[in-house]
Amino acid sequence: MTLLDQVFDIVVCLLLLVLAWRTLSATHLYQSAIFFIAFGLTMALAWVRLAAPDVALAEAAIGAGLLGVLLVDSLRVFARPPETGRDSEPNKPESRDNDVTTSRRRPQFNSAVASVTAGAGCLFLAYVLVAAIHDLPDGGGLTAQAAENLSRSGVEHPVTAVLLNFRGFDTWLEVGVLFLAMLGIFCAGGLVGFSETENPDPPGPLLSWLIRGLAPVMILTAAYLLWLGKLAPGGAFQAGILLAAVGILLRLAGIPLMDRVPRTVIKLGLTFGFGTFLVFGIIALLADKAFLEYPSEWAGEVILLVEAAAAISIGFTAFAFFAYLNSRDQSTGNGDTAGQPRETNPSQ
Amino acid sequence: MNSFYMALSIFLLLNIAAALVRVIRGPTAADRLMTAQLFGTTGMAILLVLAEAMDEPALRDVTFVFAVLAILIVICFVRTAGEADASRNTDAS
Repeated sequence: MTLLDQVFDIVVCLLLLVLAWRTLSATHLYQSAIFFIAFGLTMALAWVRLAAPDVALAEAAIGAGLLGVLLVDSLRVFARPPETGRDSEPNKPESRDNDVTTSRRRPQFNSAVASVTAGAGCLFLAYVLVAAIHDLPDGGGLTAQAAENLSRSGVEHPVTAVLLNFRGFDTWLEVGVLFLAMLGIFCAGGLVGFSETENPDPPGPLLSWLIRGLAPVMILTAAYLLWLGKLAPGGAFQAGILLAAVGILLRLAGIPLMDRVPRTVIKLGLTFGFGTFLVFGIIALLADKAFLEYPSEWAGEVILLVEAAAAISIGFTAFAFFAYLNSRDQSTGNGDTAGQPRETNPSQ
Repeated sequence: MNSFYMALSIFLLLNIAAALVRVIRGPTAADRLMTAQLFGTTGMAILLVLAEAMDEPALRDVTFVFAVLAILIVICFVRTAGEADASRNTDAS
């Protein structure tokens, strides 16, 4: 650890604190969103410095790719003046900055009481975190055990071995949590809005060209990350987000992907990952083994299959988050459809 | 050589810190988005330099994922702005 290393780490920490503070204290939601994106980027650098490139990769995919576009897209709802239901003009400096104020939406309550409560909560959380660090077992806990059994896991990358084999149960439930989040969004707004697509504009030549160039690259990158998980940082979550990015790209261009795909396929896609885990778990139980225990000679293949299924489900789920919120925005603010919809769907 | 890479990444990181002024001042949303994009570019440069400095080739994959996904937010912003333009035009007519 040289002096320059330390300087870099200190600057990263300071930058994180400033960005976090600015995200919370910004007077405009749009500004907050931009600060949050920058925070995600800096957080990825922090993970890199903590020698956790896997987490940095997830932060790059989710923080930079998915969250940024979700936030900017959701801002349209807040930016719209309530009486007209129309979007405000984001390019005009004054109107945008005056419309999107956080203070307008801040609920009325005693700010001193709130500050004290929040402060006490933060202090308690800090205490719990410090206590947890002190409680960490010496010698890294189960690290030695995991490293010892790495050769039997079917993969060479220790993080993938732990996530998909040794602690496959956790990953299975994580996929389940994502699915529950999806159900929550469906319940909050109804399944109807999901496939409602309007064509805001036909994609211009630049956007069409971009989609033709970028969508295959995204799919290829997803496959690459999925395969890479075997030997290096990569894996199902990152690959899934890249698949979702393809859907988001097409939807932003006004191509109604979700209308073209039958509802059954969407439902299958959403549940595929969770189901595949479950099938392999039950097969293991039937073969008189522990739940989700893979046969050692086939472990690599099984992990790849399960990861591919999980990536497809995560892609569908993340895309559905965006597609649902996006269609909801549009259905409240329609009437501004410019130009002829290039693609019409007679069955709708 | 290693300290050269670290000095370089500190310089790039300070660039990000300096650019924060543009996010705060704006004045337009497009300026702020532009700054976020340049954060992304600078961040990717830092990641590539760190990949050499820390001898961690996986960071190049992280950079690649950043680069592939960076465009999404711009398209989202531009499409939103386009819609706003359309609504303003119909208001005027």
